[in-house]
Amino acid sequence: MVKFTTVSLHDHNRRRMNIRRIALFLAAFSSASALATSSVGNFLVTNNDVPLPFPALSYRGSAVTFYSIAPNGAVDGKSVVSTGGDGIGGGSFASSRVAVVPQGADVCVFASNAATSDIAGISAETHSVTGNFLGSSTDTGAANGIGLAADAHYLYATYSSSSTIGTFKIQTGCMLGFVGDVFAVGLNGGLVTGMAIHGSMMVMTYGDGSIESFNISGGVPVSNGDAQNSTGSAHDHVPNGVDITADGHYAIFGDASTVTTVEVSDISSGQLTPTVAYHVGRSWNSGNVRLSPDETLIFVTNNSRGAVTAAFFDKTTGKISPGCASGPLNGFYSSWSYAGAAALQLPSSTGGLFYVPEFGSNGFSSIGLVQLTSTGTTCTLSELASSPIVDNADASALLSIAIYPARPF
Amino acid sequence: MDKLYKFLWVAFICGAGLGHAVAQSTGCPVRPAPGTVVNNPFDLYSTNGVLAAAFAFQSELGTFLQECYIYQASTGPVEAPTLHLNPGDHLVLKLTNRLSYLPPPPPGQGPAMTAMAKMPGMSERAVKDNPCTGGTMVATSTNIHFHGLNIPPVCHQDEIIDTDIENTDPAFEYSFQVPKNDAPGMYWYHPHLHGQTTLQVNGGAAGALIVGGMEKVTSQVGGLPERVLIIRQQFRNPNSWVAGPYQLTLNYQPAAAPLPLPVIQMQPGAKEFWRVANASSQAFVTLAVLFGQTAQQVEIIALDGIPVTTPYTTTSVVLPPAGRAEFIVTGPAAGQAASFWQSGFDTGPIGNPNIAQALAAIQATTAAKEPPVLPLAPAKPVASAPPRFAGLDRLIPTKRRKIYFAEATNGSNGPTEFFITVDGRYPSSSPCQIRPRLRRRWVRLRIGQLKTAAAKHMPSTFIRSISSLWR
Repeated sequence: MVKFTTVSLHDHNRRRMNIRRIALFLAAFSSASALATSSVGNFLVTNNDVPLPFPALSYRGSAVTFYSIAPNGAVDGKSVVSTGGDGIGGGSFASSRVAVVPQGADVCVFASNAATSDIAGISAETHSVTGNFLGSSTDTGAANGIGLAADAHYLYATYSSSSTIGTFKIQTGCMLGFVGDVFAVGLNGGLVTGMAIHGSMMVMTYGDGSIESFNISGGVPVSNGDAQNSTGSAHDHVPNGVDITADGHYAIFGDASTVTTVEVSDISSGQLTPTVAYHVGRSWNSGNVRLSPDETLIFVTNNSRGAVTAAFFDKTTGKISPGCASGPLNGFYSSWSYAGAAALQLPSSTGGLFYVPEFGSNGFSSIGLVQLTSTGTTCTLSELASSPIVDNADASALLSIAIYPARPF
Repeated sequence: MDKLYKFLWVAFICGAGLGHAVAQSTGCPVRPAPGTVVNNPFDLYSTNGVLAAAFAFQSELGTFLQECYIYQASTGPVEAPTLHLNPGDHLVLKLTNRLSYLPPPPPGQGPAMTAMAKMPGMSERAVKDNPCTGGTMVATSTNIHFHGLNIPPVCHQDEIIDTDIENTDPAFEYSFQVPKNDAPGMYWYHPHLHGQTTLQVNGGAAGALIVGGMEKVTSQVGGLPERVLIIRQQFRNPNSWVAGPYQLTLNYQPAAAPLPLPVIQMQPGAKEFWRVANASSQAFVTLAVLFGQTAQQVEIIALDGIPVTTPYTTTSVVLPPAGRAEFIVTGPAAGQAASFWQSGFDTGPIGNPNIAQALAAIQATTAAKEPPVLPLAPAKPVASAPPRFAGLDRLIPTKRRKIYFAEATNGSNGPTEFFITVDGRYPSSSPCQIRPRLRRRWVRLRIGQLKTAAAKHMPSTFIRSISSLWR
């Protein structure tokens, strides 16, 4: 603890020196905090998106569920934390309803509550809610959820009903301070759907075939004036989920489509350029995309087939070539009906296991476990025998999960 | 989320029961109170080969939205009468549209984004004041589809793509002849304005159309009391495309515990000919007549307006939205507990819950007033033209095609685009898709995900799409 009382207020030289020492100390403390390795182990967290009313729960409203991740990818140590708000039990595939942000020794988990239009801050260290944070009075997400994306300083929230993008300053203690919001709508009337951020760039999809980028260097998004219909949208392939390469060169879109369609836009100029569409499989809907940590692969969730697809990615040229696809994962259609945005086990290489949220009926969801085997030019995706992880007590409607530690970009 | 909805319903129904009494106001006829005797809809019969009638179409929002076809009977206004015609008869129906209810815009969107938007693929009226030329698709526009009848899809008959009757238009006249070879049976009429059908049907705009002569092809119904039952849904949020709490109704009377059930009164042990239509937009029902808890045999006479080849008995009848079933019921003995029951239907992992529930109590009493009886069966078979589609099953196809359905969706709540294609073609070309403005209302027909009846909204557009593929 710094004791200011040792500084004489009448000795300007000593005061100046002490202030400098204090400043240096604080800077060093701050840097040490930023660099500190979290004491929180690897974990997977789900946004259960539980709507009200729901029976026989030990908690009220929605919840997140933490699982610890073993080195072999197995998950265990389940812990359910009430978010203090309510979910809606579904919505857009492309809206990531949970974000993970390291903060000193802790890891902040932010989970959106679509029905109550708030964002819960949760300490991964203590599994306690730090607060429920609201945007403006018009920011509402009850139609199709509230998507989240965050860097170390800001958390952005896409509200599906009001079609607004809220900006929150991430504060110590996993708190949020609302900064402002902007209204954003697609060229064809679509509402905010998918979102990714990288450096000063935010890329948005609207679920109506159009896409747009924003400059977030000042915190609140400012349109780059590049709204456009994607190339695929002319053939009814509608960009939904989006990811951005580590160097910020390319934005990659996963499409709602009757075949597995992924589109790539060169954003190295700071604006979206016309997308190039690639068909990399025949499965219905490819609304979620996720680059592997080494950027050699793009993982695609085939939402309406209950399957996943991997495609090879050339991060130099931005070109995509077909890879491999799983069949429908265990329990598809019989016990769950949509695959949500998947997450990767590891922050390096090809990412290890692939965790797939499985949106269930009757409030019971599961998480599929898929293993990739790749030679660099060919690959296979196979579901583990232990898959899926099912817990019938969560009453969840699972479309979003997040992993810590996350991929570094 | 089936369990969720069950709980929502319980909460909703308990609350709605209190509010029902204040649901009615001026405009639409007052609907029957809970727990009262179920009567047949008002009957309109053709005379000398013609049935001429006039409907006003109005709306009002109380606890539930009511969109009502009003016929001015001599005893006062009645809602959605049953139209009785015979093969070869003419129907002349004048419809004066005076709908006034406009659903609120989606949250966060201004008035410009309301239902005033033009539907892609539809034209503005090419000729002012000509409802046959298409127009803007608004919630106060309408038209009528005569479901199941084999009549031409042309304006003033059964055209529903470009017929657009606005709420300021003068009376619009439907005029057509029921084909002489149309099968006797139960058909139904309802609005079919693309993009607004669900809203209007959820408001109750549907009625029965019966082509007479069933006793001529199935003698056992001759002389039986003819009971017409129409199952509808009423929604708290009638404009919602996300499944939400609703009540089933039977001839406009809510069938929703803890409200008292509708009462079907029959003479003890009487045989009746029941003609049941599922005029709901989303509910799948499995019908049964229970004595105590035991399902009784009913004799199936016709399904979807077509007499079955050989009548048969069963203890349950599945009716998807728009489905009709006609069957003979033998009533309970005096004092015996009995009910008209829907035993539920599983529409798949993301389908709406269709939970078991009673639709009505059946009360056997000598005081029961039986509905009008059908004519007696003719003593000798009546010669008639071969029914439509006769011999279709014996035709040898010259070419076979496989048709595939697919969907693209942004999420579990839609919006969803539906596609159709044939072998060797990608389902991506524009003629093959249902355009975006349509998909909003049709999101529940998740082909491949749901058991679906490809319900009443689908065929015309799909046939058009198939046609464009085959050209």
